[in-house]
Amino acid sequence: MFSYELIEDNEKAVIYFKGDLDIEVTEIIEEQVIPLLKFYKNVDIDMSEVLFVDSTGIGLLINLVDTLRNTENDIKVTISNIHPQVQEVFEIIQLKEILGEEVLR
Amino acid sequence: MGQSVIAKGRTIHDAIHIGLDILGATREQVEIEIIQQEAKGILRIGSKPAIVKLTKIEQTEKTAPDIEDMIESIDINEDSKINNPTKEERKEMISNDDLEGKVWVHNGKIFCKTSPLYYPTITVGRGVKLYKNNELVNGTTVVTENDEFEIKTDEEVIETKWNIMIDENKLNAILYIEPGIRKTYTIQDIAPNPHIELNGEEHVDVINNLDYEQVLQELNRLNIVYGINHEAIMEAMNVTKEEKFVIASGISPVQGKDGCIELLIEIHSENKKPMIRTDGTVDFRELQNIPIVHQGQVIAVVHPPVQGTPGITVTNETILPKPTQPILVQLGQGVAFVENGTKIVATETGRPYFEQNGLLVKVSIVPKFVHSGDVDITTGNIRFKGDVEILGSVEDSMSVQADGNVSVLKNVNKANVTAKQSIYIGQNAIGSTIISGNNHIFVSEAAHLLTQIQVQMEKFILSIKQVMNAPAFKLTDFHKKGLLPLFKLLLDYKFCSLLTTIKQYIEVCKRGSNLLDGKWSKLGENLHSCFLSSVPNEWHSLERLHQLLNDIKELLDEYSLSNEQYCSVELMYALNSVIYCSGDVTIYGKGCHHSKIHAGGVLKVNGIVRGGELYARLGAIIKEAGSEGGAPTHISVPADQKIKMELVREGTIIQIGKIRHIFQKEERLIEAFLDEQDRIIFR
Repeated sequence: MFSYELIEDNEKAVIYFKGDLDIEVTEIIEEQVIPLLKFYKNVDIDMSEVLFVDSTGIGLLINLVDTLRNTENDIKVTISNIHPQVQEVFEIIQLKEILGEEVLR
Repeated sequence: MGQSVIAKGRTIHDAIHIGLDILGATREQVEIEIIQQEAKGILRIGSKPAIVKLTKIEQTEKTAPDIEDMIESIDINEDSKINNPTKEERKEMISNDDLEGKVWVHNGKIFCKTSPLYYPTITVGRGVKLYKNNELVNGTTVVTENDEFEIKTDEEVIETKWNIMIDENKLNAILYIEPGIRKTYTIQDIAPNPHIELNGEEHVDVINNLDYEQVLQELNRLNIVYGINHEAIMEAMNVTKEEKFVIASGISPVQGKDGCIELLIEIHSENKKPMIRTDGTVDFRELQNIPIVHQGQVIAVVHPPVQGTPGITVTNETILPKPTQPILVQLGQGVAFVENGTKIVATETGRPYFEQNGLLVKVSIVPKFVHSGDVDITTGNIRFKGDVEILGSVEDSMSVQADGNVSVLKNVNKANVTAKQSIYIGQNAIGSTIISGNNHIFVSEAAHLLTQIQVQMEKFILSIKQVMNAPAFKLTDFHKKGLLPLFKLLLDYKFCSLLTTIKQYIEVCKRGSNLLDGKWSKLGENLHSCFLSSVPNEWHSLERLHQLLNDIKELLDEYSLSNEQYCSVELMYALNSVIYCSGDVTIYGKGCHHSKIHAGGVLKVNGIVRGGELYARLGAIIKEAGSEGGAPTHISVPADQKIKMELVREGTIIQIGKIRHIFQKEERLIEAFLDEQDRIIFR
């Protein structure tokens, strides 16, 4: 099952995603995660415990990053600690080019 | 000082004698100075020659020769003279006590005589093994009279090598033979000497022991039974160097001939060039040099295929010739078979039409429609399944469509002329659209886009497979949404150009919907459902994607197959017109202004090209291009073609492949093409 954990430090938040990022987490991301992160200036998404993704999951991630960036707060979003297996999928899809280099390093 | 000479000799006496000979003097005429007494060594080893200096007492007129030279020449003389007697002496000496400390070989045996102070030595050379007291000697050994010596000579044998190979088609069996050799050594007599080197003299014999029976056995083993040449085997048994012999040969099959069709009439009139009158105008009436056949005339003879004759391999297998195919004739209108389909006869009078694609032949008689006046609102549009000849003009917003050729003897004004074959316009095309050939402009554009789509789709499918094979990728959403989310991800960035191309393709299909075959639009619809739909549908699967790609391939193949080489458009002048032709386009008169021309073949303009866009797939030949300060003129050809211009004005743009060039000043007699580094070269 998917879960997440938020660690905040003033305006900076680190959210730890745990579990598979797939179609099942659509609601969690849209209804919980986005409203939760909207008020920070810096958001880092830690993916170290995400071992599997599906295309909807990647879509959700893109949507999440785009939504946060387009808020009034102009949130700086980064994604870090991507598991190598997941990174492989991201590379084929060229996620770095979709989101921009400042998000995925 | 008199002439003097230094002479060498075995003894002082000899030396003096030689010196006198050189000087040509007698003993009385010279002064003798002994420089070195001779020393007697053992058989020249350790011996020293006697050296004397002779000086002539009497003055002579001759200048003395260079003494150094003299000495050299004397040396030579002395050696040649002195050596001979010593050899003779040696023979005498054999029985003498001079043999002491020497060893010699006689009749293959070693003899020696030791002296208390000197033991002779032997060095073993090549080809020989020397056993001293039954021990093999390596290198050099000392010889005593008590030793027992045994000489063994080496013998080296390389066996005859041979094998039999069958060539690829089993038509020849080849015997390769490399005869063996035997190398033997014999021992020559060696004269007595304190040291001798024992070398065998090499003898090489070629041994060809190819055995006839063995060859036959090998042939048998390889199942070679047909066409054996026994003489070649015999010959092989006698060769002394490596060689190859064909010892069996089969019979190669004689290939048959596919069926063919022999035309008895001229189908394509030679060079449909109109006559140019002396006043410079062109007589297009003479252009109508169209071949005509009459009812009952035999158009062609159909030849049946000729069967080949089978061949035989050396292993006695039959080689079948390639199967031959009959030619397939599709008869169109106005023709019929006679004599069991071996002849094609015209049943109507008209222009013969002939199209061959591999073994498929289409033959028909194209009927001709002649319209004696102008085409205008009173006559209506003309559509005809054959040739159309209009003796007047085609007027405002009228259209002429024909399956064969169209010729308009006067003008085409703001009208459309479409022909599946060639179009001739006797005068001008103004504000008109002229389309010749099956592959009109839309097909060409659509096919071009489709080729791009095909390439990108192949990559697209590859990427999808890659993602699906990635271990971290799950297909949890596949049941609900198919591959749509994945498509969206890939099309979002990586393949965004694929989307653009597909949109362009669909646009072209829409614009050309009344001219394009339904297949093109149908494919466009499918592409739309697959790539542009935001709702999951049955197209979002790998299987369907493959099917779509396959449809694209088939359509493109069909397009590239169509036979378009006999279309052409010829006219005098074009203004604000669109001319599309899958073959050559020729403008004979003043030229063209602000027209868009697409030539699938060669574009020739005998006049001026001012403004507009011109594309010529097989190169462009233009007399004058560009205008002074007018609209830009754009001329393009593919990368492997040339643009020739007699005069080109400033501002004219040429494009070869993807490389563009804008002329900054007027140039004359230009021939532009690309070099290997994709640079435009002018000549």
